[in-house]
Amino acid sequence: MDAQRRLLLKGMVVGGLSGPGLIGSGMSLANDPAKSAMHAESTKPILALVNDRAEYSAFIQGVQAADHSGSLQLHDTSLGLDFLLTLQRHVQDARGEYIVGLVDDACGTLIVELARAAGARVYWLGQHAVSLDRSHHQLLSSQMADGCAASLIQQLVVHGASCDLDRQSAGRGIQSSRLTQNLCGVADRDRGQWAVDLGHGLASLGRTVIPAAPRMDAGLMPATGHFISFAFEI
Amino acid sequence: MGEQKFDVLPRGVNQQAFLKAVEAFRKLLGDENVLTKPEQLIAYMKIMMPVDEAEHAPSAALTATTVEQIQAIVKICNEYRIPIWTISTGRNFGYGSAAPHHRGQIILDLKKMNKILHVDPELCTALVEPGVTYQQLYDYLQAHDLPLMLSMPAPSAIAGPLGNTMDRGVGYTPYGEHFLMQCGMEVVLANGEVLRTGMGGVKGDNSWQVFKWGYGPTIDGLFTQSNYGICTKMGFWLMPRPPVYKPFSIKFDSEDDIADIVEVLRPLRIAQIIPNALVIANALWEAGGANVRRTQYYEGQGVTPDDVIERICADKGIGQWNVYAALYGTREQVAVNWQIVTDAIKALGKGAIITEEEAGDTEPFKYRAKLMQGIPNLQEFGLYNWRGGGGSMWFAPVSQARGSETSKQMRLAKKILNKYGLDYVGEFIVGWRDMHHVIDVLCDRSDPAEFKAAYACFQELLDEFERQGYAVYRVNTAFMERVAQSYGPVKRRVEHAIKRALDPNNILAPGKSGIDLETFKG
Repeated sequence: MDAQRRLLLKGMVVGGLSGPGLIGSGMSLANDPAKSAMHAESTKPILALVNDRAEYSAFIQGVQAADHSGSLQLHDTSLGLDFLLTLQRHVQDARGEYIVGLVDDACGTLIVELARAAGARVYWLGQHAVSLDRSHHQLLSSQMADGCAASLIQQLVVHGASCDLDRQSAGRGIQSSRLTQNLCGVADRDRGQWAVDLGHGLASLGRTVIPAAPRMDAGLMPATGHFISFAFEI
Repeated sequence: MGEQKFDVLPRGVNQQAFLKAVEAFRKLLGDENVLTKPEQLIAYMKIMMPVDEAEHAPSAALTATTVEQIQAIVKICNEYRIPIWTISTGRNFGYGSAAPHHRGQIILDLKKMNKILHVDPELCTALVEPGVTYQQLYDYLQAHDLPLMLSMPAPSAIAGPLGNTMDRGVGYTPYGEHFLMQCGMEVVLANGEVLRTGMGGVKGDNSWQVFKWGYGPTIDGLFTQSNYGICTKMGFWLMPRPPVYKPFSIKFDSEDDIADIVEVLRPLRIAQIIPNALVIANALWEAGGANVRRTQYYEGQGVTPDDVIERICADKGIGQWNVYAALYGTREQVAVNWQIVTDAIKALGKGAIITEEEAGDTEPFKYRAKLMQGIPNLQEFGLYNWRGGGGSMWFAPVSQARGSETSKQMRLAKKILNKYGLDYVGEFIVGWRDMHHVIDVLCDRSDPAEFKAAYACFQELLDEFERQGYAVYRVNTAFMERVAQSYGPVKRRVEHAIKRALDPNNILAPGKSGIDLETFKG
């Protein structure tokens, strides 16, 4: 089966989603012309990329729960050349689309390179190492993803997981900020919450205030291992 | 609207001068080819070395489409003393990716100069621009049904022949020593002049891509791994596709076998019985290529224990060492050489030969066989999932193709890597008489402790190997100055004398291979 067909078959179009807290955040954005412009951006279609494994479900839950009126497509990724060439064509041809994702290191390295080669505007790059005891998050982001970064940091604090987070914010002289939190006795569901928050935040790109993401669905597997997250616009 | 304020500036350049330079670039190239916004530059900052992204943050990136534009760019750079870091496809991942040598340099990205200018199916030559990828060239050969074969490194599909050759990279076919197969360059010098090497300067000449040497000093090599010019066209030779291609693997069960492997293969390689740049890969390299993740077998910290590696080998049918080689030619030639190879392994008394038929569709055999046949694929990126965490630096010391040397290097590297809790993930790529011992120093960049350990480990690898009389042939941007020191003060003085003569304003990629007029104290 060729990659395009596989993508179509696996792709799930989810249009017109609405999430909790929509009205509040929309109202606050509407009062500020600059923020309104950012809000308008969120109507662009979103393509979300993940590896085809169970631990990515929490991220997908977050993406799906985000408030955006554009279409949402989910696709799985692989190291196969057919997938990469299909994505390359898509990235070169499509315009006005956000591509967000949480994938393994190999796929992430390739996808970010495709984005650069296509001249995409990259708002977010994240490196995540997550075990049951602790998580490490290394973020490089622009102002457009400030809301996502703030949301992720806040949720890591709220859900009480042990973590180290290092964020470099490009656009203000590359400022660095760090968060270190040491807590134990955290429930599995809270350990996996970061992926829901991340998916929710990236799919809300452009918003400066992002409503809280839903709690991770019971029964989902917490995402542990190494991941690359990204958000860019083509 | 106020003037744009730039967060990152080139060394010694103030906001005002930089703004003027950017305005000049915009006038020359158009706004869409002058990238200064953070979201346009973030992707250029993705590095795999364990150093902060900020140290390699560019101040801007330019994209050019013609030689004339590049000539005008260097003129502006000279006027405002702006350093530029040139990339072709920028996929030199374990050697620094697309990021510049140091903070503030402007990236000159030649990805849009991606024309295949000429392929001669009779003389088996090609002439390409910097942005051409191996996949693009492969597709061209396929579309035109040309019986020619490419030689490419493992990131084959997305890397390009010009960039790889200019960095003296290697591939896995009989044409695997890429710089040997290069023939003719066009180079924009720092003063804006355009130089053609070899026969390229002769008016009306048509042998630019067939005769390397031209007349007088041969200078192509000066432009590789250097910062003396910007290569805008490169010619190289293509191998005729042979009627018969026979890839094979030889599996060895003991790490101690490396010396015997080299001793038995070297005569076959020098005599061209095995004509390709064959590979001897260790178990963990193969595990990555077979999509194995460390966490599937081991959740602990530090080095992967030997018994775990043995279990992976047993499960995946890979050896502690795995030779990949191929025979090329007519049916008769291949049959004769196959007999010689199998006799040699039989006489050695160890090593299990695996043919393509026996391997079937299994990885890593499948992707290795493709690479030795010049077919692009991305399977080796699986290495990045072995440990995970986005850290990768190639440590690539050269060794004699002698069993005792390879054994010594392997043990030394493993000892140092293991001391820092890192795995030995290595392969030897066999030239005629030398070996590129390529080790992927894989680490988790998001783990502060491992980040520091990997950097310290790389330093110690360089120091200890130097003490034993070894040096690397290529290195990532964070360690270029250190490696240049290994090659001695006289070479460095000569390199800087040439730099002063060709680029007195130090605008072309300062720091590349340790060549930087501003910091050199020789």
